[in-house]
Amino acid sequence: MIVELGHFALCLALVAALIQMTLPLWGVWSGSASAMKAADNAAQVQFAAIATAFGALVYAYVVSDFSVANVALNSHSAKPLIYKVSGVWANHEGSMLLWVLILALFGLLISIFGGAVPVRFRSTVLAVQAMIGVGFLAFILLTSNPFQRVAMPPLDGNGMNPLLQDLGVALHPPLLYVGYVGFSTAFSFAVAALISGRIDPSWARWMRPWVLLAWSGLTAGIALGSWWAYYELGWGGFWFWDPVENASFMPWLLGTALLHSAIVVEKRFALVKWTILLAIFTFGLSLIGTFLVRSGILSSVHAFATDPARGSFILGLLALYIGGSLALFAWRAPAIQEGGQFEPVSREGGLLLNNLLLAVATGIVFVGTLYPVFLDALTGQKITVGAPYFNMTFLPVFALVMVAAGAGTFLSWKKARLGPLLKYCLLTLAVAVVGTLVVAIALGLSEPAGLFGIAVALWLVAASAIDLGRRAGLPGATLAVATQRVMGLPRSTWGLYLAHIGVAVAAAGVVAISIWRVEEIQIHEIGKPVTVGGYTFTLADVGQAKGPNYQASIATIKVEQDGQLVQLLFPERRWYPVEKKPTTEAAISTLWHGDLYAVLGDPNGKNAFVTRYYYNPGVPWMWLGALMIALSGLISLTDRRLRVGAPTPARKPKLVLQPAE
Amino acid sequence: MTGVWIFTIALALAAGVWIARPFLRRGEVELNEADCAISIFRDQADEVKRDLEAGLISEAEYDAAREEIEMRALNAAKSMGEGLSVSRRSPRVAACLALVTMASALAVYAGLGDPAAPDQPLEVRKQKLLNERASAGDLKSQLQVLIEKTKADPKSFQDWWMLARTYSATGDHASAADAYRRAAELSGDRPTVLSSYAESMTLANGNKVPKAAKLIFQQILQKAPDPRARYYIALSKAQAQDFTGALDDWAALYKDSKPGAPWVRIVRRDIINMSKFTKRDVTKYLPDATPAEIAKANGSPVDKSATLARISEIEENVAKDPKDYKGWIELAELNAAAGQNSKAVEALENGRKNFAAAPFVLGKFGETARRLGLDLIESPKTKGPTDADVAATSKLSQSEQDNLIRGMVAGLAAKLEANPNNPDGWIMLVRSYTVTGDVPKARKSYETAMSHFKDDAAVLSRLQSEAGKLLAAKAEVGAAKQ
Amino acid sequence: MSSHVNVRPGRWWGQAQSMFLLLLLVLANLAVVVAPAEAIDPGEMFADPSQEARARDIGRSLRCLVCQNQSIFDSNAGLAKDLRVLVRERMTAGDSDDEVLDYVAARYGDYVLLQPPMRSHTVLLWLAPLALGLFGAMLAFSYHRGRHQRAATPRLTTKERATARRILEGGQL
Repeated sequence: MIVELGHFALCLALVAALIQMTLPLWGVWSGSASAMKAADNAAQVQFAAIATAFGALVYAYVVSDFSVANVALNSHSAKPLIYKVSGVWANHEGSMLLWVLILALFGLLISIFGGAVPVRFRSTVLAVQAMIGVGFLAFILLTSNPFQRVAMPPLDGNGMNPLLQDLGVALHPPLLYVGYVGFSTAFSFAVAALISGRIDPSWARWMRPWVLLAWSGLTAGIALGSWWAYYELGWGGFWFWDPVENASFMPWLLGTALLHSAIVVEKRFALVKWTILLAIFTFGLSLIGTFLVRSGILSSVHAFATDPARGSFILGLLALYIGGSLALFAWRAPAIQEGGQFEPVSREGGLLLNNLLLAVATGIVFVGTLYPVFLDALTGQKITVGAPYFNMTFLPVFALVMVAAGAGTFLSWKKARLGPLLKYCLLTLAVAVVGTLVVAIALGLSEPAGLFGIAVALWLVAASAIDLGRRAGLPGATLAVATQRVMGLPRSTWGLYLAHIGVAVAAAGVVAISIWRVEEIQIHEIGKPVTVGGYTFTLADVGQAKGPNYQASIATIKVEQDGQLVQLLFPERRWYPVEKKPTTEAAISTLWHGDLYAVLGDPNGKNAFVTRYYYNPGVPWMWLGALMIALSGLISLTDRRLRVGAPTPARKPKLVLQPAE
Repeated sequence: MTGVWIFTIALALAAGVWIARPFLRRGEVELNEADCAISIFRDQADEVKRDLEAGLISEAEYDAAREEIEMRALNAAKSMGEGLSVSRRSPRVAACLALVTMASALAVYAGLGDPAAPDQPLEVRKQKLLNERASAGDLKSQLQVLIEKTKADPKSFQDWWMLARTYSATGDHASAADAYRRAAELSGDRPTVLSSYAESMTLANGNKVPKAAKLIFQQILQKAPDPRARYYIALSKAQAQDFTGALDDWAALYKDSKPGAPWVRIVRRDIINMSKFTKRDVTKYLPDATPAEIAKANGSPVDKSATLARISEIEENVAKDPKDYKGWIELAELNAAAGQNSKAVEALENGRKNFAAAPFVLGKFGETARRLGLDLIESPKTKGPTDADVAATSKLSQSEQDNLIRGMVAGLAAKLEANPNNPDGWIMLVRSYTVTGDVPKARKSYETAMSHFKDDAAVLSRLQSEAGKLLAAKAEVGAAKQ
Repeated sequence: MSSHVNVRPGRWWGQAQSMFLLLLLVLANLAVVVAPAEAIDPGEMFADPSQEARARDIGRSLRCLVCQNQSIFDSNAGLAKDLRVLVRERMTAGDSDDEVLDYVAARYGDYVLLQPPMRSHTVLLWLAPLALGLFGAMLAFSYHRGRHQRAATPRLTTKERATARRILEGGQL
């Protein structure tokens, strides 16, 4: 019965979404605030219903109810509980349900925390959210219903790919979806603005917290995926520019642009149409990211043909949402009057440049990802666009983004004074160059590409620090005043610094591992030392051990530097007799500047083993940087002003009109 | 089914009422856009002020920014009064809305759902299924049921006894021994139960009577002349090389048994085999032996010289190609037939050495040994290669390694002959032969595989792409060398 | 080594290959055939570090045919290993870097090159970044020109400013 209740709840969610889509718009048209407010209630019902459905599906997985086709196809009674639960979204139907659950969650959050957004606009936003929800709920119910029953349930399920039975993989999709789906709010705000036809700077402020939330989630999701690859693949790769990764990276790049352009709208009411367009495209790329990747079309055009019903439904939805909103844009945007003027060299100009560069970077990734697909579809010629292409085209643009981000912090609104700007830029440049030289000499580095990368990262860090000093009134202000000023800076400014420094730190890490990683592969005799980038690895011993369901050879590796013991590493090679599969468990030791990474291979001759050793400099920095970026969004979210522009209570206008009855 | 409908209607009602709630509340005026916007402009004005005080912007910049904000505020204020949103109480609309919500949700579900389908958690279903299958005679299900029963009530002798017997029936003697032990404890060491226990121990030990079992059998015999105990005590004597003792015991057991007793057949067989090994007169132990049995005990009446000729022929063959497991088996059979038991055992042992890492072939050798009664005098040590063995191979010399590998390859070939439906196996075999340099055999097994899978296009193309290419490459290299 | 086992000469090779085979055979005999993860193994490596570095550089621009955008030096797949061996063979035969890449591309198609070569059907791909940049710059330029041509914002009168101040500070009309 629980399963059927879940199925019913999903139907109920569709009905709630239909009401949420139509009733508020009627309310706006007829001026009925009750109808508008019903959008909040409908959003709450929609969420509760989808949550119930999701709960029922989780229940079916947990008790292994194989009368549900989805459970029978994707689960197994012998799986550990956690993977039974994560198995819910490790397949198409379940992941779609998770997708609409998170979509409804954002609707719920808007209905609860959107109190400062006027009801007329809020209900329009919720109506647009519901338009997305209706499409995908219908898609689930009609083509991908997770509650489909089977008449003759099998005795046990099909199981789940053991590779997917991993905590990283279990958590990755929900986080990534928070990002992808979160951008639906930006889309809804943009489309609602186009529908209502009235837009002013407050619009950007209402929208920005939602973009921040989505952007933080996406950052964390991407980093987690990359981190998983780094730990699981056994040799330390973390990013391959493969279509799946690119699909998540594009909304991130464009979302970053959106985050910045929304500031211009809020402060100066410029770049309004551009911001609306960005919001539409960011969500469009999120949709492409989720669905085209899931459909497999990015890796092979032929994957589409295996399930044309689903494929064409999804394509239809994509065309409807992206095409429909663009058509609406073409119709309504010309009427939007933009405000504030600005000079090319100004904060606005800087943010425009940032947007331009990020959009170009997104475009490059987009072309690089989809070109092979289209080429194959149109001419049948197969090519590969891999890391070298992206390194050659994307990286220079991104370096420019970082340089611009550094200089941009010094710019003032409307029109920047060139004198001080030049002064601060030269100071930053000096710090970056000197810093890079110090690093190069101290570590004896000479690769120009790597040093350039380090210099760009240092530039961004230095610019943030110098800007902080500038805001504190240094030099000149007394320490007390400076401290007071620094403490008085709004949270979103701290968010800005943290994000910029996070990008710099992560970029430095990426540069370091890409240029200076050291890799030694050899047949290693027990007792013999091997030198890996200044470290001496000695294979001390290889012992046997028994795990709960495997046998393992565990090596003890002594890592020394200048005769001092740095670390003991214990890589394993496991043999799972039941699955009859060998696995390698790399030993990774994280130092502040990099990872020591050891992999034990097969035995080879007497007392010798194939071993692979890596020194991966900068890796901890990548994760630290990504964490800083994700956190920066959350810190900005706590800014008082972004608490959705909550009015200061003391000055709240007294507007208690009695309704004319 | 009615339960489902009750719950769905309740849910639908709750949802409908909640959605309609704004229509049930007292009328009030909502904050409009201008209101909200102005509070934000106020905030912006404050911020510009702070920037001025912090010296980040000049007085002129401040004034321009301030004026811009003021202009926005004025614009917003113009629309302050227009389009006020007012909510009104209207129960009729609310009722309609709630009804529509309910009705359409129920209608959609009625179209898509399957309200009559109950939940079927595995736990519940398993029990039902198991019971059904168990009563239909499925041993595995019976086992499951009995295991559950003994778990629920570990003090029931009957359940343990049944469980043990079912295990025996499935051939899992180790588990059976365990269950018999529990049953014996619960029965207060009843001799019949104890002897079943000891018998399972023996069977689990590859039909070799372990010391513990022997002690139990002796203990039983002190209480009662249990025939099973007597049989196994005799077997243990045979295994301890006391062939006379064994023969005497079996003969005595045979004499004391009623002609129709179930063990008589086995005892007769063992007496005959033993007389043959020890070259004694079988009629002394088995007065009613048939002529055929006497002939068997006295060795082969067939043309011995032909057998011997065949033996030497096969010996030559296996010396040339020690990876011919059928050769070893035939050699053992012929030797046994010719009464050369030690040579038969030797043939099997040599075979085992050559197939140390091929469990499939080892199993075949074991079968042969049992069939010929050779296991009475030599119990085989069959086991697969463990990880330790594999690790140990790194310490083997190159030629030892090669030999081991060739044994494995031959084992794989034998396995595929018995069960050719294994494309991976065939590919592996071709690859193995090409690596060991045995190209003709590689080609031959490739052809065998191709003809076996001739109706399966998918497998054929896999074979071609994975195994065929290897052969082609090998041929290319061969051609280049010439 | 027994005379009829044809294993390639060379200590590493013989050992590595027979060990590999041994492991495979054990698996085959037990039940399922699983190709164990085999990244670069020392047996295939060049003794000369500079040669090896060259091989890695070449390998990083070749795609592992069965993986998603991984280079053959980053992949554990068996096919990647075959390609690595091929690269090393060509290098041993004296090919330059480009010759090796050409050789591999001629056999497996351009698909194998992680950096697509400039051909008639990849012109758009290679021009795209430049075109995107130019287009963006044009867009920004025209946006800016459009703004400049618009009339400057009219200034507020003193009275209007006073009203605005009242709105902002008191919240009353």
